[in-house]
Amino acid sequence: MADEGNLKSFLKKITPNATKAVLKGFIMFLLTYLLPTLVVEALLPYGSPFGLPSEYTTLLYAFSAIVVFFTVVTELFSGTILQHAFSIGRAIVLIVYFIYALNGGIFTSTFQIPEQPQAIHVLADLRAFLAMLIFVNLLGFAKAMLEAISFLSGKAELE
Amino acid sequence: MRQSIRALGWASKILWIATAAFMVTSLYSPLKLLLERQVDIGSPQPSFSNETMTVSVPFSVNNTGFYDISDVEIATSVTDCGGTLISTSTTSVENIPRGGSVNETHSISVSVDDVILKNLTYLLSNDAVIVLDVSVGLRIAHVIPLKVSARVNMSWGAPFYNASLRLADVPEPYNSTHYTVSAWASFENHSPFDVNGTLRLEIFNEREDFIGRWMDQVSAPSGGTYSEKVTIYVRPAEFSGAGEVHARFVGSLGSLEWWFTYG
Repeated sequence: MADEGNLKSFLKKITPNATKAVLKGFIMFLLTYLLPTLVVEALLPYGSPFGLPSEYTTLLYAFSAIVVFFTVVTELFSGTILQHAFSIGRAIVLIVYFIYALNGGIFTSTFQIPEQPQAIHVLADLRAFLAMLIFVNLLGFAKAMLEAISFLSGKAELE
Repeated sequence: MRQSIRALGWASKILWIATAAFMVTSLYSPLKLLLERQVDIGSPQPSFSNETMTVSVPFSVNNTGFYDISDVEIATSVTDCGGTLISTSTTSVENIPRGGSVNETHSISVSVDDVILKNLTYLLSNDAVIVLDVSVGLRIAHVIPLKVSARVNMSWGAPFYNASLRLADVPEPYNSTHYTVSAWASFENHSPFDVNGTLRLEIFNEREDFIGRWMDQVSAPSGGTYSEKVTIYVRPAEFSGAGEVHARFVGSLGSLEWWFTYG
């Protein structure tokens, strides 16, 4: 009977967080996976020689997975110190991800010319983008740190 | 603290959106030009002047993208299949503003002197495969450098393909002092240029003594053939039936020389 009561109260406690997590996770999935896929398909029609290379499609999936995962866990652990720990973790993981995905800021790719033996090599220096993305994530990191400090100081005051 | 966190949160969100929007639009901008066929490359125009072969490629860019395209540099290098550099050329366009367009011509020049100096004279009498390396460098929105390059194998048509000179083995008496030696000179002009000029033949015997000459105008349009029977007057005492012929062409392709052996 006591176990049933504990389970009930646990479910009562976790249901709002879980609902929020599912909703936010779904929105993030739409924004980071479905929207970019639709945009790429709209901008680069099927059969276009300038399609996104497969390795970059995989990286897009990975980005979506990272964002959705951290959104869900941050929301699930909302109201605890873990929420802020996951926010800090997200910023660090995204910085590492962007450095890896953008190959340190140098994008290279090779496109085969249809029905021709020749290939076109593309090299883009995206270090400016990488700097911007790192800066944005550092802002997120700083925000999460401040939130963690605020949360801990608030908790200490209550105690 | 709460205010700072809020401010950081908003700044982070706004910057995320701005960065993503800039990233997508700036990378799509050059692709848009290609997909909308706003980059037009004209057909190459071959020409020849001052002993220099020039192939001019007109191109136009109508910048319908979202940002300026600056520091455009088109570079080409031509090498033979052995890797010897034949020519390099660069065309620069400082800025193509958003909504603006530019019409330029990229010229690839090869001087005959260079061909001779670099020991590439075989290109004048042999068809070959030459390698054209093309690279286009530009800057999108004055911030993102982009470089596109390609290597293209092209067939080269020699202007004096299969150049040959065949002398008759037996001279025929012409008068009391001279004999005539018949010779057949021929070549095919596989190049995109017309070959016009003067061909001079000088015959030497085995002892390297000069024994006779012939000179005439030659003309072989692009894709045409030159074939001529020539008559050279020699002294019977000097003609030994073997030796060398010095052929010298002076004309639209500059000054070129060949040595043929006979007998």
